[in-house]
Amino acid sequence: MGNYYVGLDAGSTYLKAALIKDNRVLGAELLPTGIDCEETAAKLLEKIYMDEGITRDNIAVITATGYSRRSIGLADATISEITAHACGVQLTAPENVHPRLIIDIGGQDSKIISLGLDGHIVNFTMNDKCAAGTGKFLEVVADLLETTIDQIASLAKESTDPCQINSTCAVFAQTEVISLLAQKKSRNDILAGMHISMANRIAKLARKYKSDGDVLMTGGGANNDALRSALEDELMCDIYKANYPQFNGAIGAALIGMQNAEKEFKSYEETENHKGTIQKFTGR
Amino acid sequence: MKQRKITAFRIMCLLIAVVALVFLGSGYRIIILLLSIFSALVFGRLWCGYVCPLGFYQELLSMLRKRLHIPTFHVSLKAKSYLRPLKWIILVYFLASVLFFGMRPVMYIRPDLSFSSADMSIYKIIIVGVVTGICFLKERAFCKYCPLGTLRGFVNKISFGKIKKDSTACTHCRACLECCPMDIRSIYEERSKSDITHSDCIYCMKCIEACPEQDVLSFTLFGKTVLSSKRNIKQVK
Amino acid sequence: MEDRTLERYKRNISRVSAGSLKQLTSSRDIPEGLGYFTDVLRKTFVDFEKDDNEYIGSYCVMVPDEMIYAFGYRPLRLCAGHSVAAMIGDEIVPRDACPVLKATAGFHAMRVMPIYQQCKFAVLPMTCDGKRKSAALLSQYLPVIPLPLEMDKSEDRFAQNLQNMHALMKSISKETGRRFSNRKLIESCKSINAAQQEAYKLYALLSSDNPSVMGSQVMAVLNSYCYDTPESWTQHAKMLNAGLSHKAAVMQPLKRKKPRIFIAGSPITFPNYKLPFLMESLGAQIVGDETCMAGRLLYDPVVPDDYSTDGILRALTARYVCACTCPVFEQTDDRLSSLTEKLRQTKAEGVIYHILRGCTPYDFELSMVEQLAEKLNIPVLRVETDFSAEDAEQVKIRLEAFVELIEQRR
Repeated sequence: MGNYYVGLDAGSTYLKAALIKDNRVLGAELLPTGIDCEETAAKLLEKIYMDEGITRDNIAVITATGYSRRSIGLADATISEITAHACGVQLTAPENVHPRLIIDIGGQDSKIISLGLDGHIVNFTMNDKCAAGTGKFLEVVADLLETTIDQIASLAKESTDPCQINSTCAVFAQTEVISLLAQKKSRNDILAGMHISMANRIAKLARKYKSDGDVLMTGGGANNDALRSALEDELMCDIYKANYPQFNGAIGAALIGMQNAEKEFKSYEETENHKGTIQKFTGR
Repeated sequence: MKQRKITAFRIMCLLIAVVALVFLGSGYRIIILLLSIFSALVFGRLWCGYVCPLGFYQELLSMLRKRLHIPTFHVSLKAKSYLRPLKWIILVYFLASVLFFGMRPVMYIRPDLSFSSADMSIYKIIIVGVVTGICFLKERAFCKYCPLGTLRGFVNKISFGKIKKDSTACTHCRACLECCPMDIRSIYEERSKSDITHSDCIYCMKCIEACPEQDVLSFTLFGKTVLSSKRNIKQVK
Repeated sequence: MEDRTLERYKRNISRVSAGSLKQLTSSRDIPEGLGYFTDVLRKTFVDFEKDDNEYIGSYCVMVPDEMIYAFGYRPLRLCAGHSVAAMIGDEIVPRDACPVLKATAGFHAMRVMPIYQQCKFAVLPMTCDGKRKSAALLSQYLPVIPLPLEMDKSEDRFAQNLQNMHALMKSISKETGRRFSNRKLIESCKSINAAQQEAYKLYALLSSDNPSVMGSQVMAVLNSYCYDTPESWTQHAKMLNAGLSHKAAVMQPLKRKKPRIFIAGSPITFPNYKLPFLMESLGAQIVGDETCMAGRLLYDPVVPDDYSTDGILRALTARYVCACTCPVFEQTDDRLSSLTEKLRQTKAEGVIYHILRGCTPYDFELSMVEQLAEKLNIPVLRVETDFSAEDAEQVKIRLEAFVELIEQRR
């Protein structure tokens, strides 16, 4: 019976995998999900095994989370993204940061999770209907301004006079960008305005769940320093960036697998892959 | 049905009391007086609900009215607030007439004694008629103003018999208020305290019988719960 | 209207209703006796059966059924929960109105549902904004008698509401040309009382430590009462309860109990059982609800002090108005204490606060319920949805996280 645990975060844009052992993150890889996430998952795992020099037999549990978690046959268990993210911060929070609020900004959704003093979820909310508070928004804008998503943060930071963005829809933001460009506004200023607008939208959701305590940002959006500082302005507090921000979900899933192996817990759901209501983990 | 047992028991008590009070000779007057005072000091208005013959008379009138499906009348809150001082005026008049005019208090319990003489003035007959009429249409109408009752009522809040309410479990369905012969509003309106014994309460237990929730209204005697409301729906007759 | 369109409407209505019914009867062991209730729903929503009874429609839960029986008519609750009807109704009522109003208006406009066509007229209590304004709107489909209600539960308002009930009686008498029968009124009080007793027993069975029935099935059983007579419903509910008690006695308790969840909030009506179905597929056990079309439908009894018409009307007003915990009323303490008691009795581990999009009264009370739940140390999740199936996946992810939250807390 191995003592390595794997977590898979099957997002709509990227599939992430994380390998942990004894509460340490040993490896994290990602690939675009593609149309066959089962295949992509298998490829990812192969790479991770190779890098660490282990095989499937060393793995005790593979836990899947994310939008397409139920289609991954090779996973032993599934868990919702919200629980996974809340758990992941146990390993990804920077030292001396005890998160009470998690702001996760993914490719196609954003989540706000408020935690209690013991790290358990107290409440949560999600924005999975509108792209305006998600990575998609920034991707669309970056594309329009002929840059990449990795560059926009530093470009936005150089802005001196951020534009006021009015449209509430990621799709109509296109029209607005074009009209701003026609007004000879600089790319940096437009980008800065976009970041502020997005921070605004996210802060609206987050304010209700915020309490005293540290705020931690996870997901791909955490890599964007301009977004983080815009959020800090909106919420008027420090916001920390998680280690391995994009892998927080996968790490959390792996951790849940580890924590629940003792408890014999599993998602109650009946699907084609997981028959029966309650199943014990089969240790190997 | 269990829900009616207490009322049946109570009517029994009243009947026995009437028979006893009417037929026991005048030699027992002192004993009866002492019993009355004792019950007043220890149990407040319990006497009103279980012994008083005038109360019994009013209960019979109400039972007849209900049989005949004749509705009662209700007084608005505003009118009630105007009528309230009447209770105290009657109490003062009573005390004065007993202390200074030698009136016998027993007249309030056994008004029939005042007719023992051949003096059946038209005045008395009218009074009887009006009071009977009002008591027929409104349950225990006299008891709300009875001076002896008012005196006993002072003891209610500190007596050993208490009405308790679980205010959170109360569904505010008004069943208790609708059946209360003394129109005690605090049974229905109380939302926090658990001891709701009121100085008008005659311990008829109708509220406890009517309450459709489990253990929301209960009667405790010397701290022990003697009767509690039950979940069984009171079957419509 | 073209016949083809009517046929299409019928097909779609049947399809969605049949789908819900199938899911109700698809669990591993279906309680004996459940078939009768699903049949009642099937006859109404799938087979579109007509009959010769005379109906008077009512909306909400504040119109006394007993009063309608007293005139020799059968009451029919017209509050709808059908997604197809809601889509049609979207063109008739404002976009931001609640889906119940949309579905009701839709059913009226589609003219294919016998129960909506058979009502002589309908009584509509003037409760929330939507209901008040839809009185005029729905009157283009059938006569509507509005029942004005005071939304305050103080004594003066009670007297006013009593007067309103008297006035309703007179209006119904005028509209139907019939006289009110006290005897029939008392008889219907009796039979509805008996139905209530069975409903209590059923909910007690549902909230036991080891329930032998599912929450969605109980909600369907209660819902079917609206389309049935009390006598028939009681008779079959008795059999259902007997079967369930027997089953509960011999059942093996689960090694690991399912998370116990209580549903609070906006009404959940057939066939819109999206929320209970999702919860049960995620392994939760619904242990009770305070929705008006299920948990509250047959809750408080009518307790008359005397059996004169006035006495019974007082008892009806007390039960249908004073004891009603709908958030349209100004006072909130009634609902909060009722919720506290129900959460205690059902030993709930979590509350799903269901809000229909556009239902502001329930949404306003959410913060108070959250405070109450925090005091009781029970998590609450707000789920806003409507009748369409489009957001099923999104609702599911939230419910799943909530179920996991409860698991983690144990």
